[in-house]
Amino acid sequence: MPTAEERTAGIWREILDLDTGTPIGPQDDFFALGGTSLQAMSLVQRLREEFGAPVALSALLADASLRAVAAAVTADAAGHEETARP
Amino acid sequence: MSAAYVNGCAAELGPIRRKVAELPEYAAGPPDAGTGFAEYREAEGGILGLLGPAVRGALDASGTDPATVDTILLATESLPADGPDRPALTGLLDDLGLRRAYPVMLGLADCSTAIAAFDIAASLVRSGASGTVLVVSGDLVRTVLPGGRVVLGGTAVAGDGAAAAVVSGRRYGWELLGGARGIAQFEPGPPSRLLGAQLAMYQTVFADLWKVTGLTARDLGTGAVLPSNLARDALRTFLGEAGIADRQMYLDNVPRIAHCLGSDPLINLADRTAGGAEPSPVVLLGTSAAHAAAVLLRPVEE
Repeated sequence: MPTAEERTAGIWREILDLDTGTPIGPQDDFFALGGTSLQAMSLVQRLREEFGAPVALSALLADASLRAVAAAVTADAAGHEETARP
Repeated sequence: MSAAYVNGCAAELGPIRRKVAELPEYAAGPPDAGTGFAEYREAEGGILGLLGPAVRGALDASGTDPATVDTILLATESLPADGPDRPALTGLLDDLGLRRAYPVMLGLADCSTAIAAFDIAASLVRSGASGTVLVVSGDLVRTVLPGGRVVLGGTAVAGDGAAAAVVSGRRYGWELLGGARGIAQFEPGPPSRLLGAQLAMYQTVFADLWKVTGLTARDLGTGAVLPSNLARDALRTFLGEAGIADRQMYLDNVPRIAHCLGSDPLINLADRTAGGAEPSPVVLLGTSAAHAAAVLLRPVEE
């Protein structure tokens, strides 16, 4: 099963129109790879859909590395599951 | 202090429907589906051909005798001093029966100016300086954005439209509870810095709006936040982080008409009202890259 980092990297590839051969490492930064403002907001929405949890734009702005974004997604998803429990 | 009310509003769109995907900027591929853009509007004639019907519609919708209007706040940048439309505006106002109305033109803050004008109109009414104010918004893309319709890095696709509303002390329509304005403090740097400034602007405007009016996001019903029709992803992100839930955002017009510059929030209000939406306080939110203005309206109970 792909990790959160791998799934997040896949979304980056789609949004940034990078081919599958382009390596994206944990330290790579979304904006340094050419991400625009519009693409950043697209990323936030795609992460919400993919992981079923709200991911804050402010988290992406604080640290846009793949590792940090995947960690934020995982943390948010865990928190979302916790609050969704009866 | 007396209250101010938005008695009625109306809009007029450019009659030509065009596909966003057919714009030259999207020759290599359509806009991302997350933007929601599908169609935009284009005018056939000049700006007065949009402003006139919008004003007439607002007077009719509000049941206002045009002779009682003493002030017109025109939020437009499509009446250049060297063009034929500015002198022709006087004739149009005469034709509409607005002979006593003193026209003032507002601008500079782009697509938020018209909403800021509501706060000004309300202040004029509350102070007694004006009895009845017309707020009018409208622009032609070919005049104000000669470089093309796709702007803000694809966050907006501009269309032609106009809208108008009547503000007075007559208790009818919506009570104007208050407004807030904000400016994104840009510093040179990467896109993340720009985005951070814009996000802070949205959050500050809503925080100020709640402070001024005493209401909060919990008081808003479905589709009650009527924004500038920017890309849906952008609106969901900015508004979501300002405390607005997805269901509270009125995004219906993003695919239908795209971004009619300063007129969007009023167009959205006219359409929401015509669609028979649930009674709820509503927020009119006009935004550009650097400016935001919001007003909170509460329906008057019959």
